[in-house]
Amino acid sequence: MKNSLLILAFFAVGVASGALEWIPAWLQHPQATHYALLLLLFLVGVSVGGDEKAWELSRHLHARVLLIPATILCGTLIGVALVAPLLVDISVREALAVGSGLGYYSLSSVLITELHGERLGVIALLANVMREILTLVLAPLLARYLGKLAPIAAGAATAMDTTLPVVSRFSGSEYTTVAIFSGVVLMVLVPLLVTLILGL
Amino acid sequence: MFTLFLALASGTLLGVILRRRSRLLAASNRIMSLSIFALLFLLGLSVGTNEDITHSLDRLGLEALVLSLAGTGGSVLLAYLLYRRLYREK
Repeated sequence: MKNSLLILAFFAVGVASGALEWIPAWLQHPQATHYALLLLLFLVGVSVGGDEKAWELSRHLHARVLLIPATILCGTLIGVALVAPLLVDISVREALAVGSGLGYYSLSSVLITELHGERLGVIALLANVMREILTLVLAPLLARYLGKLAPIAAGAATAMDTTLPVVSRFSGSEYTTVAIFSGVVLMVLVPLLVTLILGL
Repeated sequence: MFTLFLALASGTLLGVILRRRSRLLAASNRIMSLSIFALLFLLGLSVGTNEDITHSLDRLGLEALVLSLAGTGGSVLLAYLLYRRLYREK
């Protein structure tokens, strides 16, 4: 949570310094973002590839456990696709791209900005931050009325880190490994899905 | 788009190679946090200088809320159905 606030603070300071026009010219160089994004994707890869525990975990779980992240992904995409027609200036494809963020807002917002534009990037940032907050707030209710998998579904890619504490608290510690596994799978899918959906 | 995939794939490969080098991996995680901060600052910067966006932030926020509720809701409902199938039958 501390990290999420810090990230939002950086975004807010960026908005303020942009609006107030105290920006060094080199930062406005469009390539700066591009190279920083390449670096970030590279490092995301390093952390996924290097995470022995996550890979180890997947070996001990039944293949059936893959159903969980698959269900979460399908549910998210169906949900956003259904409401897209209600939003006048958002196409189904754009809605799918935002949904594919799966709560991983730092990467998805920047990636979407780079591939599609700032407007959708900002929507992706806000929507995926909200998903994390919704999960943190609603986890007890979800676990009680919609089953132990519901907090894991709401958390999506964040179920492996920022929302893991509330998931294991309210779904029960026996769901911790499932949450981490599902979160890792979804996190890896975020950059792939976003690029695929916007690249087509 | 291809370069983005390439960055991700080469990173994963390096991560697998570096598995036992936990200090290097920790350093990479720290640089990752820093680059996330930098990127979000840069995103904020370009948003702040774009009047089109600063003038419609409330609307973008509302659209984000709708998408967020729909995505979260959809996944929670499907997960509920899966939960009933997987766990209640036993």
